[in-house]
Amino acid sequence: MKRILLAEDEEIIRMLIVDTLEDEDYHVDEAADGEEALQLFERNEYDLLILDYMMPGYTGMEVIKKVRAGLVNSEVKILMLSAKSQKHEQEMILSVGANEFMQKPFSPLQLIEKVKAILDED
Amino acid sequence: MKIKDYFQKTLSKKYASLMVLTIIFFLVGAISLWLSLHYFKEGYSDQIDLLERKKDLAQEINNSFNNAFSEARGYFAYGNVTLKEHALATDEHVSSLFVQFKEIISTSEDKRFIKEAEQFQDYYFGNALPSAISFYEDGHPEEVAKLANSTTTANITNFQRNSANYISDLGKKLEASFERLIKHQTYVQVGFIGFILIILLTLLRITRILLNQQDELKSKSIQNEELYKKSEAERSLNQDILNTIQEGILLINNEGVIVQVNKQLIDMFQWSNKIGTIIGLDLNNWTSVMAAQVEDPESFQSFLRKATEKKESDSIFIYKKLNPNQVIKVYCTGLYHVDDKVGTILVHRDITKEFEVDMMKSEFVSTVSHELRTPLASILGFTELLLNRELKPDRQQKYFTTIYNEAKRLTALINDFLDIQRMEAGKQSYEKKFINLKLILDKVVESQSIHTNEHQISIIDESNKAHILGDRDKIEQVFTNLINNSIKYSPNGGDIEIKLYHYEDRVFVDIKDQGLGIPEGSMQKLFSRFYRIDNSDRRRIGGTGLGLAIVQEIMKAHNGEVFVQSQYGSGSIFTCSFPHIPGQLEELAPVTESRALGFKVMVVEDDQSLGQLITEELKEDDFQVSYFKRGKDALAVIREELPDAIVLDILLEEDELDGWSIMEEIKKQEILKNIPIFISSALDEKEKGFSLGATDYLIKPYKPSQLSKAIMQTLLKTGKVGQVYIPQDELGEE
Ligand SMILES: [Mg+2]
Repeated sequence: MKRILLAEDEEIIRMLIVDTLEDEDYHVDEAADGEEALQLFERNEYDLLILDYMMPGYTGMEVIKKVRAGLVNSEVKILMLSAKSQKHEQEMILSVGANEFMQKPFSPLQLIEKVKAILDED
Repeated sequence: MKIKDYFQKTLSKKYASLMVLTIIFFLVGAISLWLSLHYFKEGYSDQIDLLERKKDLAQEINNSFNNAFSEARGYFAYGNVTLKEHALATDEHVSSLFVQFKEIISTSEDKRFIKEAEQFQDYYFGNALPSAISFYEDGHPEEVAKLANSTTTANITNFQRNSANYISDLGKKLEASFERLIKHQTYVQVGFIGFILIILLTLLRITRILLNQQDELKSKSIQNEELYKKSEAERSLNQDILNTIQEGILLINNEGVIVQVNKQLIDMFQWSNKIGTIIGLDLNNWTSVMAAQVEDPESFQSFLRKATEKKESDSIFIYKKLNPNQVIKVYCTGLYHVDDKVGTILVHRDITKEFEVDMMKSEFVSTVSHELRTPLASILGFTELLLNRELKPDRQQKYFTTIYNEAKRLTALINDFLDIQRMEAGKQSYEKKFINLKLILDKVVESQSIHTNEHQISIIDESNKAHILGDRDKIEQVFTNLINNSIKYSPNGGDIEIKLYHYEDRVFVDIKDQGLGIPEGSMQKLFSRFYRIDNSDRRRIGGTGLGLAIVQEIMKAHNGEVFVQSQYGSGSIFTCSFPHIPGQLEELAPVTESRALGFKVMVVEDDQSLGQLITEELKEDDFQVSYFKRGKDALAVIREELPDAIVLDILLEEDELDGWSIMEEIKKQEILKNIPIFISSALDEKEKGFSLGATDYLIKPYKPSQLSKAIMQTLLKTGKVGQVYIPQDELGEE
């Protein structure tokens, strides 16, 4: 079973993503902000990080930078969720080290496809 | 002034040279006078000397002859030989005199005289005298006498007469010479005086010309001074204008050298130098000084270079200045005189505020879009799951509830967002009435208590009737937001204590919770839109992020204030204060049906039909009504009438008095000031009305029965005349 770490400050969105992915037999750990996510990341080994862009404390971008610059599992796949809609913003997110980007509001079904594609499960 | 000095200097120089010239002329005149006098004197004295010498010699010749005659006669008479020898010796003497005379002969008269004298000498000494002597020595005295009586005597007499004539002629000539000399001297003197006079006149004339010139120069120099002052005034006016303009202005010539600069630019770049020393700096110099204070000096400097070189179009550049951080827009444009470019004007405008507003706007837009996307994402996401998945009923229930709540949240967000936009744009209208804060708080607490079981909400009323002038719905919104926040931000429960009290001239409401509290750094931003406190327990507390911003806007619109005190970790106190309405507010008992017992009411109303309507209504209720179209007429009779109540319109057309001044007039008079005044006006100026002492204020249009009821209520409360009446239906019991 693949392990996914989700960092999202909105409780309802967190619930939506967790429900969606758990139905697809993924194990999902939840974090309400960047700092909590980084703590979980250090303790556990994950196959995928799903990060919200706008979070109090460390933003999704800062979490990516810290993960990519870290010693442990720095090559982990990362999917960024954001309300950012402009192309240059999306490019910037990818340039910092995200593998995929998904715009809010998102379709849960598309999220599943994206997650599968990232994890090479097709 | 320098110009004046210059003119004065040259003028005095001219005057000095004129004086030197005059002295030279005078000296030349005096010398030539002296020389001519001398010359005349010399000429005349030679002539006179000659004449005198001639006269002396002629006289001596004559005397010598006369001596010879008398000696000859003496000899003939006494025979004295010495006398004879003397007489004969005279011949020699006369000859020597003749030689002397001949040396100075100059005229024909002289020649004739000497010729005659010589002839006479020949005759006398060569002939007459020797003949007479020989006759006498021969002893013929009669012959001597005969001789003497004949031609000899005649000859002698003739000669004597002639020489006497000659001598007297000489004397006359001498006199004439003297006269001529004097005459000439007089001429010369007169001429000299004339010369002096001419010099003096010339001098006077020239002095006059010079004085005129000086006057002219003086007036010119005054003109110049005025011109200078004028141009100086214009110059300083221009500088003042430049300095008054908010933008920093720099004018450079085609070579890039600073020609003009204003104070704002100097302040902007903190040039310690004065304007005078900055003017004249060359392109490299000033651009590098400025670039040193700019975030991106290279592009700044290259822009300035291009802008000054470029011949044609205007250009704009935005740069960030350091210390202090400012965003500045510089605008370059060529300065043309007729068709020639004479320089470039650079206008530096501080757009920091606009830039920040722009930043805030785009930040706000992105925040709004984020805030809207979040509930939308949940609604869409859960709907998609519901549509595409076979779900158990409890999960379906959970998702529907979530969708419903998120849709509600979205609605609330949109409402709050529209509210704050309207309020900030000043477009929110408030329907202000007298409201009792206690009643509003009761209502809000009741509705908020439903949402929580963990919080104890209590109200402590220490005020004595907390009435304010306000919009009921908006004030409700203020306390709903604040109490809702207190509940949300004390997630572990606790007491929420609401305290109502007066302090000085304001009414205060404290809302105190035992919640999370507010970190020190967040207090400032707390009332900003979409600001959310970064809580230590990282739990996202729901809400639109606009609640406190709305509270602040509503409080501002009520001349109120809202502020917060907090101890991070142990709770917060939000305090609202409102202005206290002057005059003691009194809630009145409902009016019992009654008839007015012939109370007198004076009505002042410029609209005749409305006046009649009011009059009829009041009469129906058994009031005695006296109606006045003009305030002046009402004031004229009020002291005799002494009405029990006055109904007063504020805007009185075609009247020199308005309602306010009539009211002031009434309140000034001891016997009138306690008569209750009911303002009936289309203007909503209740506060002003009450502060001037109105008993009630009815805003047109109102039902006439309302006015009648209000007057009745007031008058029935005997002894309480003059107190403010609150209409029953505005007290919030509905
Ligand atoms: Mg977020």
